[in-house]
Amino acid sequence: MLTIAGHSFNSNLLTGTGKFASPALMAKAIAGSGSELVTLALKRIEQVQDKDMTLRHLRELGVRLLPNTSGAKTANEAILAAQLARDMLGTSWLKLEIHPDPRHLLPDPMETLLAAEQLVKDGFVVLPYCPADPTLCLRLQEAGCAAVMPLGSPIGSNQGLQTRDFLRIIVEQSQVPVIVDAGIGAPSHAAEAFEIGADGVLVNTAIATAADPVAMAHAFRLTCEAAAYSKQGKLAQPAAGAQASSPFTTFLEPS
Amino acid sequence: MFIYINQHAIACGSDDTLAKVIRAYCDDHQLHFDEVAVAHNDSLMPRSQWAHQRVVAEQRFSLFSAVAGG
Repeated sequence: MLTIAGHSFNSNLLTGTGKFASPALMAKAIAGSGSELVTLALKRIEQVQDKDMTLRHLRELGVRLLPNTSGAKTANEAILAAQLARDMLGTSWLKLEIHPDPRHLLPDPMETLLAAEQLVKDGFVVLPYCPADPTLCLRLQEAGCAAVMPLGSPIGSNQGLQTRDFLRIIVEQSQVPVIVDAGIGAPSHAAEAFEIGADGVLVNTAIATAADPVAMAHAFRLTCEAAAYSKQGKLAQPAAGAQASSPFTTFLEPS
Repeated sequence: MFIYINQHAIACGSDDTLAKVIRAYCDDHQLHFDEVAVAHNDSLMPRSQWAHQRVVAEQRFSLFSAVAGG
């Protein structure tokens, strides 16, 4: 169970819709993932443009839409993208992302905070994609963001949790859900994020570019479900040395 | 007169509303009228105003749609 801005989701797995070989395959993978909160982007319409069926498929799946502001290089551009998304899609939920550097796609912390402050005032439910910076995440929380989405490693890199030590601090401090976004390339990376204490993960490239995206979506689904049970069960504490699990020490002797 | 949508000249009448022009553009480009958004001078042009907004010669609009993204 994942609760964001008072809305409860059965799945703690968020998914993206980019990079799939076809919209139909995307829809099958999203359905297989069990994800209920799914990202999409906005694009200026070109004169010659293949018709994008992403939105139609997502409407049919009945998932909650999470439009992103990808392509925005400044706070002002992100705010306009957010307004366009709300007008088009009828949702105030927003994945705020501002990454001016096209090579590394790393989020701009200052512009992200500026945009978040304004968008929250304008009534948006803001989920900012951000650097794994504990101080920034606190500031975003104070600004009224509904969650924070620190990166595990660069977008699309599949490098896993390169920022794990900072993610631990973010999780420890956060009063809003922490959703690890970007860089999760394998179900084991998602499992590690949950063991650190994350509330959710957002996965796109690892599913979309797998040899069998539907199977990989299912693998992530099972991992995230296992993580939810693990959280409920609470992990046993590690011990310094061996602790016998069977009474073998008394087998040959009277007790 | 002409207006511009995404830098493409569109012929229209002086009484045409923005809603009428956008609908015609969507029909021509196999887009769904209900699934686009419009900006003018880098500001949102809210859908609620399209039906009341008469277009003016040389106005420039940007039209957006939803696409796949992460």
